[in-house]
Amino acid sequence: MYLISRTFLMSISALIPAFVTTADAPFNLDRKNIVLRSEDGIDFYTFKAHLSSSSVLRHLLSSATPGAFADGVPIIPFYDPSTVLRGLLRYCDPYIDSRLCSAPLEDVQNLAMKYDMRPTARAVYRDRMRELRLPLVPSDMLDVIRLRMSQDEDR
Amino acid sequence: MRTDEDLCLAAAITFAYENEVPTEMVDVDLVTRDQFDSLMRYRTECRAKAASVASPEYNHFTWMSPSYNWFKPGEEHDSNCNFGGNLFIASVQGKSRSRIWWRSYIYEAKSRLETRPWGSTVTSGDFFDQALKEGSQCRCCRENLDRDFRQFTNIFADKIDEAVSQARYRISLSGNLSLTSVFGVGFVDVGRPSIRAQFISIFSSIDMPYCFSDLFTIHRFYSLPLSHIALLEYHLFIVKFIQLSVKGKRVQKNSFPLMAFPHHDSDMPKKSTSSVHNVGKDKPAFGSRCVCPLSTDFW
Repeated sequence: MYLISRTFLMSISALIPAFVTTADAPFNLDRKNIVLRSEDGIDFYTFKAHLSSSSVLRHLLSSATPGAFADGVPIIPFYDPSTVLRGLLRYCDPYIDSRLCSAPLEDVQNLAMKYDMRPTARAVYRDRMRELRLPLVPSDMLDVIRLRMSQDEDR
Repeated sequence: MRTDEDLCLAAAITFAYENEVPTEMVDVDLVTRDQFDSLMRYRTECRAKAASVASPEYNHFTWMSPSYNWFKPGEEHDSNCNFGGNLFIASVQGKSRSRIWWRSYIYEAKSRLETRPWGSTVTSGDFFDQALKEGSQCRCCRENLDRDFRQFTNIFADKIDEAVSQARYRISLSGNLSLTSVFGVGFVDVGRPSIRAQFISIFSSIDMPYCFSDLFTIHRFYSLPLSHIALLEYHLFIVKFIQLSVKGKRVQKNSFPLMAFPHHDSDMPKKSTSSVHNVGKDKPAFGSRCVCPLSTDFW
């Protein structure tokens, strides 16, 4: 019962401006040109250009007719939780340190794949694998494999 | 183009997993599907090579020295230092006898090399310490054990690295080579999605000198790696072989050899006489009019 009412409140609250909060730094500056509103009603101010690696988002941002504006910046509603969305945006923006991402990296990677952001998903995957602390393969062996693989690369 | 770091990471991930490697790295484009397949095959081969050092054929350890204490005849050992089985060492005549603690070390090393195929696997770890501990309980094995066993494992590790370095990284072709039996048309579907192209050859119209020159045209045209060209060459050899065995009639020498493509129904072999024996006789001449030139827009 609690869960239902909570999700219900969350989805309702995103529709009511009074319940919407602005995300904390660095997604609160007003010099951004798009606002992503997460499902739990947090506004993320960011640049369209940072999302343009995703064909899905590019299409979404260009074709959607925003129903609401915040200071003249169009608001696009997203159906993703704010924690994961914040993580994704950290990875999208090259000027933000993605290591501060607090969301589970697997969720962030899945979200990136959901919007078809391969380069971002790759960056998340790299960090995730480094976090896992894989058993140490000797570096000379890795070098050999790398050489053989790069010979295989086309051109 | 992948960075070296990505390739290293992909290799490290592949070798870190014991069994199945999740294909996420292909999903996020860290490596291509072909590279992933090659890596997996390379891993399997490395593991086999490494394990074969610890458990060679016929129990014949060619790289080992017979002078170690633990290979000395059984009478010199303590009664609690059990016999661990026979083995053959290098060029020593007859069987040599090993101790059980040494044997269990080698067995454990083998099973570990099957997941971590590199030399440093065997020079440390709990099973290494265990072997030292068990070996030092025997009066005969104990002598110079620390020095000898470390020396032995270092040679062992070198041999493993040497064996693993002989594993070959094979470039994976997701395409396959198949000869269809119906029209005598061979399909070679070459690799990478980016440059996927299907080459069709009809064997009655093939003439070898033409083909080889055209392979290089293809090489230039599609920037195919030479390994693919080698595959095509192989394909053409098979085609030539079939051509000779069927002894079908040859068509014009100057017809375009590789990419002939039937344009009309009349170019197809007649159905009624399509038994194996008269394939050659009834084959219509795939002449100049069914030539399909190398053009990019066709593909």
